[in-house]
Amino acid sequence: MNWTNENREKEQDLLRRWAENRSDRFPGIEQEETSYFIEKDSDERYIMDYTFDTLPELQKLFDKILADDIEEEVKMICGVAALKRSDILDQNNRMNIVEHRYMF
Amino acid sequence: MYILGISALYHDSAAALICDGEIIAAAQEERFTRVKHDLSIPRKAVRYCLKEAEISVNELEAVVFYDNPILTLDRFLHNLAAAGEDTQDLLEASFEELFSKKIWIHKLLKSRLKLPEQTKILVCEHHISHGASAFYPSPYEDAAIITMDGVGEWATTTIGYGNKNEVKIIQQINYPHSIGLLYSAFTYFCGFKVNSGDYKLMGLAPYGKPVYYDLIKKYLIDIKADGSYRLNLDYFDFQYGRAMTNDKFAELFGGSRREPESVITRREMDMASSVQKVIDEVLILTAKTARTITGAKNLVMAGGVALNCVANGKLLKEKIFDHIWIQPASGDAGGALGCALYAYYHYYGNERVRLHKSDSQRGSYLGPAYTDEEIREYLEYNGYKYHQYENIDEFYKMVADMICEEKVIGLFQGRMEFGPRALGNRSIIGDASSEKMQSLINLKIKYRESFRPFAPSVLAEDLHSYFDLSSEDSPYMLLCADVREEIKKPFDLDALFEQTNLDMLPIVNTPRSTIPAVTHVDYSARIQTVSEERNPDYYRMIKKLKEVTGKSVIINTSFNVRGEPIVCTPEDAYLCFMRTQMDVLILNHFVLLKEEQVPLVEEKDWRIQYELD
Repeated sequence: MNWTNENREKEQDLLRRWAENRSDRFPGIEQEETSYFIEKDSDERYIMDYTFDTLPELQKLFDKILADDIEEEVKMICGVAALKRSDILDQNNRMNIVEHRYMF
Repeated sequence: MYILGISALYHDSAAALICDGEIIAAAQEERFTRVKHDLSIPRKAVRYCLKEAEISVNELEAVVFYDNPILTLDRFLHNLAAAGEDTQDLLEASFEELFSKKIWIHKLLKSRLKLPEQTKILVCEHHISHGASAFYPSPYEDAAIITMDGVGEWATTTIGYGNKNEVKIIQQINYPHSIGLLYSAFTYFCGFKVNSGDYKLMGLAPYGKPVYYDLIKKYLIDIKADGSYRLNLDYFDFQYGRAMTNDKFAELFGGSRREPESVITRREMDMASSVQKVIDEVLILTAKTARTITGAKNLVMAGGVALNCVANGKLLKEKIFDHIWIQPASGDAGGALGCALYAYYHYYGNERVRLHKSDSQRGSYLGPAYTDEEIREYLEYNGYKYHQYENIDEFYKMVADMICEEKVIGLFQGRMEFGPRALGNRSIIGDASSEKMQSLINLKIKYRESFRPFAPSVLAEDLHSYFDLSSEDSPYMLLCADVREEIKKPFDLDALFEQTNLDMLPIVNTPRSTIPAVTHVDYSARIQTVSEERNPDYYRMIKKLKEVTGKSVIINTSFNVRGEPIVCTPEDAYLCFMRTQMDVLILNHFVLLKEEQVPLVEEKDWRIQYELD
């Protein structure tokens, strides 16, 4: 597949529309709960080999790691967004810390 | 087996190199690039680590990244979905960095570090990296593990357990609920910078009263009896990729955010005090739960919140655990060390053999050192006037005399510290008993806010002569405790505030103890104990001061000016010395006096180089 720099914003738009449709909610404060801790029951992903070159290889990583509620269509959008940006590796832009929002 | 750990792309990028489980070298990239909190791929730090071990990249068994980018993507997608129609800022803030850098971390590492194509790249979960950085170097066979930070992938707080070569997370709290982000929200609102100004809020807290504590608990956070918590997201904006707080938050605290560099008012002092009380509470309750569910007698901690030495000191006082060890590079930089160690023990299944009597952090002196020959060459080449001391006893006597004369000394010796604290090798030191020293160093040397306190370095054996710390030591300056009653002086903060109309400078200049320069306005101090085992040169220097004066406490603050990374090289040290009103520079055993130096002439104003932090 030939990935180009064209239409890089397309995936942002697709994710924006997807998010609008989902409109999930983060869990909020619940007075009747006694604990907000979440049990961690698996150590499978504590450490893992990390490599991919192609979209199918990246999709495999997505299948393994992304939560079940992330639709295949969204995984594809993310995969394409990443592959379109593989050329960025040749650039050496300095990243700067920002002062008003948390870096995450 | 050499393993290289890397942290990058979030806060403080760093590299750490281990060999067969032993820490060989570790350093933050900012020290080499001179860009504070540099978050780029740490090429220079890696180059240093490899040089220290005298190896090339071909000899690395694996390179480990301290965060799993796909898990971060998972959080990003769920965050987007929760933002619904308000995704614009979130996408602008994170989309490009995520898809063009973080996801490509394996390629980025290979290209920027010039790794062979076949190099094994591993990614480690963020809080496992933190937990491993706390447990493996600790002196304990087994321990409960607490990690707390803003967020790493999903987790923001974890309770785990370490035993022999295993580290596991038992339970956690997930984003967006984060005690670290709550603290960052207050940091931001009080006019300090997110990602770098949290320690200022901690320093400000003792000036205030926790009058907003109930308000915070009523409106902003719900804390359960086991220490778990959730934030009320109605008051925050970080989840939309914007500033930390919103208008509703401002309304709650009676007005808008303090403008950076403007006058600090009673409100900011009280907000700092109040959120500190909340942090203390969450940490203590979480520790009680950790003790219950792990049954361990020892606790280890890491993550940015573990740098809150006030909360750490309160936790220690509670005596929930018999012993506590905190990773000195608890922020993201330390993740580089943790992920390398985790790979060695967990991925490669090696047995954990504890080779050291205390911990295996080597005093956190894990960075570059310069030989006398290198320093002489540097001084000679530049024609700087210096005095070299061959007789070590005379050298220490000279340092003691200078301290007594209230000289401010830039101290550069041995290996650079790993982590945010200067521990005697890249430090500015001075007389702790001087009444003028705190404001002098703050305003004329560090060019920073007058309210900020300095830490004491004290001989380990004299710790309890000066401080009420319920621990044998505090080698990494991560525990706060009060000075002892008998050295306190009467000090009424409220009365002083009334007299001075909230001007902090006269308050800072009012002595609180016989060691006023390192005694905060609430009588607390952020202590570093100095032992011969961890830093023999620094120990002997203070020991000589004790012989001369009977005092074994000195001021220790990091060797830099505001906004500048701590000095790394003799050149950095010389420039910092010449740009400030420091009196003396010590480079190993070479002594430079300010009055003997030719004034520095620079084409550009250095203040432009270092943006205020």
